[in-house]
Amino acid sequence: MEGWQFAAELSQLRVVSRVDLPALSHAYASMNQAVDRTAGQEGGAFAAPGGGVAPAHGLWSSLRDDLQNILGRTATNMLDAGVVLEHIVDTYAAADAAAASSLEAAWAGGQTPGLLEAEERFTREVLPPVVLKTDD
Amino acid sequence: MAFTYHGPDQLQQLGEKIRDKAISVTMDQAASYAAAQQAAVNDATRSDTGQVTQVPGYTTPAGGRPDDEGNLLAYVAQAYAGIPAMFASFALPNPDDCRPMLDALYAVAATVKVDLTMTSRNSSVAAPDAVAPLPGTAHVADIVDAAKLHLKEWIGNAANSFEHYLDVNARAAVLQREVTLSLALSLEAQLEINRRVNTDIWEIGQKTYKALDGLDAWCPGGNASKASALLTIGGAIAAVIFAGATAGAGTAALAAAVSVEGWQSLATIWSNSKPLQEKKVDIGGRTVPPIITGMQNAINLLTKTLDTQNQELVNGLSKFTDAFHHNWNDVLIAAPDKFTKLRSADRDTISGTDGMFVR
Repeated sequence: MEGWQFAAELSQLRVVSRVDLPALSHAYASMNQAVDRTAGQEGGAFAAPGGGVAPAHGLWSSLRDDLQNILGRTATNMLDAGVVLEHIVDTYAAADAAAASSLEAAWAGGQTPGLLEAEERFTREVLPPVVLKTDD
Repeated sequence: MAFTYHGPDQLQQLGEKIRDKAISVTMDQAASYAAAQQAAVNDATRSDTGQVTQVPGYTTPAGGRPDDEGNLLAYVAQAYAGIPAMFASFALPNPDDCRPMLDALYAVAATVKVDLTMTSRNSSVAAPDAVAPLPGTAHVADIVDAAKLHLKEWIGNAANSFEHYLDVNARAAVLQREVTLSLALSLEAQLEINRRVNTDIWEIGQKTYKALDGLDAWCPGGNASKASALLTIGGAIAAVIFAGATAGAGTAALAAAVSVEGWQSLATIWSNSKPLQEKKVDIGGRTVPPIITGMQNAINLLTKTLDTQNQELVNGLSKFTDAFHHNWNDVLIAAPDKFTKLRSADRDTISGTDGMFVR
């Protein structure tokens, strides 16, 4: 497959690398941040009578940190996968001038061709920064 | 039963009120007065002979008899000086102020998958009422489905690995959701323990005061003053499990075991928790000392039951965490080598059998 037909298939890959994987990453980064924000109030939640700390606090915060890191790393992994897909698209396009031309024409002016209905609703916001717990 | 929070100042004031009442009843009620006189004389003897006194730090007064009115008032005041601290030491931050933590966790769970059908919170036990995903996020499964549609014409080992990677991530998301819900559940349990500690210490104080107040009207030969405090702390964790079940969570959320062999959700681990338990503690007597002793016994029971609930919380979390760590590789998925090795591959490699090409 060559030329515009191949460009159409490359465009499908590009949608995954530029829309779907960033959307996945965005979702995971948002979850990572939401879990991170629970740290601000855990002192109150796990206070114990007499000014101490409830026995479950250490286990709970450790589990929370693990989950937070998993969500954060998954966000990063998804972006990383997007980079690989982007490289595949670029490499194919570089070796097929007709395909490259068709592909860039379709994506010109900020267009994103071939989006599914569900993808129209995926976020295009800037990715929230991932917060990892360092003692993991 | 709605929860009414009592802050540190209120607990301190309640303790002071009980202390003052205990002192005034002792000085006014004949039987209590006589008992205090005897106790003061005994403690003076202990003090004089170098023994440990019943009232910590008591020393025989320099002037007058230990049981004359002035010295007795000082003795009784010293005896009950510790009561406010007994109540103030149970002060905790308002558990309901931690609601945003729970909302965040439930929103994370809903971002992975919306099937929490819980109803709104309407009791003292929290139940999730935030079932909306995090703002601006799409559901993980929806995104994976869309990506797979775009990839359907792409084949080769790397393409297959990548699709498989998306699939296992979708499955991992279910496990991540289970961890999130177990975190929420354990937090609910901790907050419910805190609510019940607050409720129970207030109940003990109120009933102690009521019993002391009853002695004010007591006359010789009459009945002892008696009140009963109902301690609810023993049912804290069970109440959270029960609330989750009745709030419509069903098997989908709080009570489900995840689909990994040997890995149970925290709700399942706790499903054998003892049912709701309330304990009635009598606080009463014909004089002040047995009432104060009853109060101390009730506080001791509260402390002991609190320890038991804390231990149950720790045990459940430990079991869950162990299983979680055992299944770590099912929860955090790295992209497969067959796919990531194409990061800087040339066209020949990419279009080879081991790469990604159009079918």
